[in-house]
Amino acid sequence: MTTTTAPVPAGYTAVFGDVGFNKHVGPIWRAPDGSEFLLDIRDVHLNGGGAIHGGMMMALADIVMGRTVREALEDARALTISLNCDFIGPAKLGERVRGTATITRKTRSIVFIGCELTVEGRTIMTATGIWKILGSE
Amino acid sequence: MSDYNSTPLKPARDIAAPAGWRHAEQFDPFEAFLGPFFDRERDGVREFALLIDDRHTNAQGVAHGGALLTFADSCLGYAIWDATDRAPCVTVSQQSNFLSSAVAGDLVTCRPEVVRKTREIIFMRADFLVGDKIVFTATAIWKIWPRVNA
Repeated sequence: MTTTTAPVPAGYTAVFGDVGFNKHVGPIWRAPDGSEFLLDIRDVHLNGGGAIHGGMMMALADIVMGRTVREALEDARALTISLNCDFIGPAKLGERVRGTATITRKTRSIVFIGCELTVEGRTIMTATGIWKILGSE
Repeated sequence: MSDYNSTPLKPARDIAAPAGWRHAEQFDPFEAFLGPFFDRERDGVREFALLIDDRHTNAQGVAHGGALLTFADSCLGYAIWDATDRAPCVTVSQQSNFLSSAVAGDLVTCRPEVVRKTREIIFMRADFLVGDKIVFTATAIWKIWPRVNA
């Protein structure tokens, strides 16, 4: 089993890594252009079967999509109102999960977005989400 | 699946159970990392609770979706174990709606429900409340591996 991972590429920064849940479970790394996010699976992320916990996978999808929405909105803030997560396959200790997100449609008040989590090209989760843009009443 | 951890883990933080609740046994490292979780029996159903603290919040000080999603996955998994005598199981899909926010100090409670159980698939649902206010709802599909000698 691989329990070490390659260094995080230069220029990647931790997503809201200084506070709360993101600090506790992270770091989750963001590419300088926001095109991808990385999580290296640590022992604390696992379930009792030695695979990444489903909650951590959903949390990562939420973070990847939330950060992508935020960047598309510039100054406005938005909140997750709905999330659909499909568990396609497992991932294990030491593996690097790569998250990417694509906005499907942005209206005045709502953002529709999709996300995929992969490990070395193998899909482990697909997700869609709906974000509500705050102050857009 | 047969080598799933069966030794209860120590929660990452030592937090007393609220009145009427006890510490739920935790078997998943990620749940212990966010734990303790609490449980109690009500009308033959095991209910669960999470006391929101600084490990569970975002930069705005409200409960992070990731913490609630994990708590939900955990509660539904416990309920499936209770309904199947701990059959090996995995989440296939979870649909989650965030209705309002919880903040640090809130006790988020859950009464998970088995909607339908087939031989290999279980349909689940749960509401998550702070007091009487629903903050979060989840439905989920899980796959179970029936025991050969069940």
